[in-house]
Amino acid sequence: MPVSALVLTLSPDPAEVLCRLSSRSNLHLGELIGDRLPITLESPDVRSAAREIEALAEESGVSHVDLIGAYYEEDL
Amino acid sequence: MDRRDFLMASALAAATAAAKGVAAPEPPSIEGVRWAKAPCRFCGTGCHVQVGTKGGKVVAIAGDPKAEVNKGLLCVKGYHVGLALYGKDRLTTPLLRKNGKLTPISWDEAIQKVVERIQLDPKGFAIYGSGQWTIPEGYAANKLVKAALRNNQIDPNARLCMASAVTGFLATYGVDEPAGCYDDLDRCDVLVLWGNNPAEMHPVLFSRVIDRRSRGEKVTIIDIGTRRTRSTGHADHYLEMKPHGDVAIANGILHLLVQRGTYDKEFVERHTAFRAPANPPTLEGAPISFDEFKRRIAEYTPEKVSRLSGISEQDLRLLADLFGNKKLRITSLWCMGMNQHTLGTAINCLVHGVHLFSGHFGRPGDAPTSLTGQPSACGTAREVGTLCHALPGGGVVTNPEHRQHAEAIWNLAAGSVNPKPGYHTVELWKRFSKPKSQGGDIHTIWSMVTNPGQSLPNRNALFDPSRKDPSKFLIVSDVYPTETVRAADLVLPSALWVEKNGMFGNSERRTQQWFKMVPPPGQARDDCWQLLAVARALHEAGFAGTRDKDGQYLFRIVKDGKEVPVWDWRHYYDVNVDEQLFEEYRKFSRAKHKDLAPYQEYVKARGLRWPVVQQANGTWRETRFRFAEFDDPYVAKGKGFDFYHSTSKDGRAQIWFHPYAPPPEVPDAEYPLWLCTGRVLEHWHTGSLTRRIPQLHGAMPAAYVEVHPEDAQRLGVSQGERVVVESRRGKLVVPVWINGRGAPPVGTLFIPFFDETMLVNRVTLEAHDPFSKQPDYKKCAARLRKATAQELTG
Amino acid sequence: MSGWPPSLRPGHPADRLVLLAAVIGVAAAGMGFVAGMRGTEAYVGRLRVSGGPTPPVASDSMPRYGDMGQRARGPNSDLYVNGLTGLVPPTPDPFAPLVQTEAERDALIEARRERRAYDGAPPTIPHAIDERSTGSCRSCHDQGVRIAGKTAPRIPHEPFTNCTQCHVPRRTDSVPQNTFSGVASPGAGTRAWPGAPPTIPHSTRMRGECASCHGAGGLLGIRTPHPYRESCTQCHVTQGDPAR
Repeated sequence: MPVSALVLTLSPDPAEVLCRLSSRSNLHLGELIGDRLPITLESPDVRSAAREIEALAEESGVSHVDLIGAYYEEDL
Repeated sequence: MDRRDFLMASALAAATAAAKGVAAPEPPSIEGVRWAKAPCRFCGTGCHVQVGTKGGKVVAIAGDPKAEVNKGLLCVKGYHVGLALYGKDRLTTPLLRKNGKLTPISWDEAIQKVVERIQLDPKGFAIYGSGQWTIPEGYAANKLVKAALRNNQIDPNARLCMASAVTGFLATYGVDEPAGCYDDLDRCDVLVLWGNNPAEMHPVLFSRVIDRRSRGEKVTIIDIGTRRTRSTGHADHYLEMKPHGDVAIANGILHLLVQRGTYDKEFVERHTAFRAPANPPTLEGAPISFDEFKRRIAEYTPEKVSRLSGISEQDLRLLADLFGNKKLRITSLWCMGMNQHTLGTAINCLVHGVHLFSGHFGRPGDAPTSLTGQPSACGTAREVGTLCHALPGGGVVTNPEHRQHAEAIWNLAAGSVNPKPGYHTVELWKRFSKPKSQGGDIHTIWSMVTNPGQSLPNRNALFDPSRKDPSKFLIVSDVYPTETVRAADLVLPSALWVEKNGMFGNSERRTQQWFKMVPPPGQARDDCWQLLAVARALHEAGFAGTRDKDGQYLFRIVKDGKEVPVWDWRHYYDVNVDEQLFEEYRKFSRAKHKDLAPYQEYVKARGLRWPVVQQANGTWRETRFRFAEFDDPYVAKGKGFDFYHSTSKDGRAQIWFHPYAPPPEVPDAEYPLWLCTGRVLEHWHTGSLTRRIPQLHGAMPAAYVEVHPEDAQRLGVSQGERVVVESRRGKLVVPVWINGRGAPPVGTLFIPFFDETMLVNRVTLEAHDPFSKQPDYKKCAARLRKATAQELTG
Repeated sequence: MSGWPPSLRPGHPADRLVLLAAVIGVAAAGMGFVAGMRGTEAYVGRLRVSGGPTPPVASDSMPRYGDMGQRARGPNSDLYVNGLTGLVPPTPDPFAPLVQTEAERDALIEARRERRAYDGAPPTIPHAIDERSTGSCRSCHDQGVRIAGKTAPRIPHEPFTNCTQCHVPRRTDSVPQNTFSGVASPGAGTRAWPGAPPTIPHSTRMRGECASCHGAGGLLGIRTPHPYRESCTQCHVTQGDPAR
């Protein structure tokens, strides 16, 4: 069950997209720093993680997605 | 917390850290280290460094990637410049010689002593300054001498390094300093080195050229020199010449351009005029016609030039081929080889002339580029005019308009500025070294930021005698106990580099600024403060020259309407004195189109190249290429080129005819060898800073004499053997280095001058150029012999 | 150089001498030829084992060119023992387990510190150099080599041409006292969690070629356990300005 650590670059006036994202159960939002939002994304497997990340990049209100790391329980 | 929670928390922490990192870019983040910009303390290249400080000390240096000059790269001196502050024997208290011994005194006493010496006889008090002075320091000193003391007795050590370049510029363009800039190095197809070793002396500029080759560009480098150096290894052609051969070679190129008709007819027709030496000789010379020029140049045939210079006719033709080819962009580089020359003005004019005559001028890459040695010989000595005949902004004391302009800015009564030039460096030290009864009318010299005891030529005549005369007083402001400090009567400990605010002006007209970052050690204080403290003490003693025509204190510094007592060290940094002085000095800069921007612009930038002209939208635009319509805002549309300070008053630059003449002292039966002196990569000037830096000292611990293997064999000396090198003036004991870094030809010796334990300036001669007064350190007659047992131990 | 070669004008006294010399020369050549033939005959005799053309045969007196590297022979046998071929940078098994200790790491950091005025300064050169040209620097440091148990590291920054502009050797240990204390190596990077890729603790200015120090041929003590992953900065990031 990979956990992806991401930084989303949001467009100005992000109130609406923040609301939308916070309602998703597989996302955990950190604190907004400037126009950047750190989040974690839980996915059942690697492939769906990749798909979800791409989908996030397409979301309105999100101008860029940076993948910081992908964390696997098995690796510990 | 279970494993999963831990995972989630860590992932989020990583993302947050990354978000923070990406959001706020900063210089290399090392815990507790604060980074700030400064130009390097060393050479005239003017690289920008990032200085890392922590706990009031410099702890790291990095090349500044935002700097156009060096783009993040430095040289070995630059990487270790921070260590210059921390030699163990920094001067930290003022010292006065009492009963032969330098004893600690207070600053108040020290300042009073300086005032005493001025009051003794103001006419005989001189300041010997430096191309390592910051701009505000030089301005304060110049104003003190020209406006207050009014004896014009101020001259810089730049007299020994760049004076011939200055007179060459003045004689050719009517105004000082290069027309082009370092951008030319990025564009040239051919680089001609005229007696120059930039691989060691301006390494970052040299890299800028040769690293183009690794990007696939073709740059042809031609090394014209009297010995092989590290630069020769990167050159395509090495043309070995005899001393003064450069004058013949330049004339030879002009001759061939005329003969072949490959000079730039249009450029010559539209933008140049011809000059020849006048009788009696003057800097402006006498105008001659083109036909007259052709007549005079006719004798410099390849055969004659080859004979005079030692290069082959084929090599001369190669140079003429290159200069005759308009498709190529050619940059000439020179420094001490052409400046420390008894025909220094002439050879400078000739190389400018070759470029003008062949049309290799005014396009990026086509440039006669005089390189400056010191970090602010341009910015301070030349631009602020800290010379015995000069005024700030390119003025001269002999010109009534320039004097009036200075009097207006300084608010002095008409006729205050003295129209009689003071003594140039060699003359100044001569008069200091002679007793009063023999015309020695200089009784006190205040030497600042320089080491004349080691760097003056013919030291035995110019420096030593004054030390035996009790009526002569030497004041020295410096940071370490140098040759000069050890011989001084009064020593003033000074702040060094980032221990004070400062501004420098580099070789490409780029004025650069930095802020104080760390405190100076002990009681060391800024040189600028010292000058202002002396000015104030003079004022309080009632010295008339310190009041302007309205009775106001000449050096009044005001903040929010109130005068700040900057002469009191505790209040010196209550205001930015640099900014105050610079804003006043700026007023002089428009006169000769050397416009400087406001101080705050330099705070923001990694330097700006003057003339810096304000645009309609309020921003400040620097000028990269002067006199050329495409970049210089002072050139009117349609003119193409305008040499707006032309000595022929018609917008034209002067192409000079200068005849060849042999060196003043040539090898003979008694002294059969040529002696050349110079520098090495690792050491700056007299080594007072770099010999206290372990990495630099460790790389080049001692001076040496480069000897050709054949000469060594003939003289019976071997590698490392300590021998005597002597001339008519003096001698020194020095170890032999055969097949060393440089390769002098048979009959030539080379000794670097950085080592205070081996003073080569006891041997050199003070013969100088007639216009620039710059002495010739590059050639004199010497001999080499085995040392006696006494000489080896003594 | 006038008067050379001597002319052969008829009746010139030199003529006779020249003719005599020619006769002697031919005679000598003839005798040499004969003598040589005899030797050749013997040699040919040894090789000829059957009629017809023979294939080249390896003989003790005539090794193949390609074998010469492997053969220690004659006065230069030392050269072959240490092996110029040994200078080829090793390509160790990238999947071999890496064994390096903390002690090795500490020793390495200390050795590096000794040659640098501060972390980030150009290191001084621990060996003698060619004073005049920099071409020889690249011959070892371009790729990096291991020679006689020492590593000449690959240049960690982009290749500049004027090496000795920044790097100078240490000719003497007798150096002046200087109280400068340069910023130290920042130590190990931080890990967000055990097993996470550590951040790069040092500036990457002039240290853009990670493999130079951390790669398979790099310095023991800080070698990467996964040299087969070549895109280092995909996982390892610097702190602060990414453009530095």
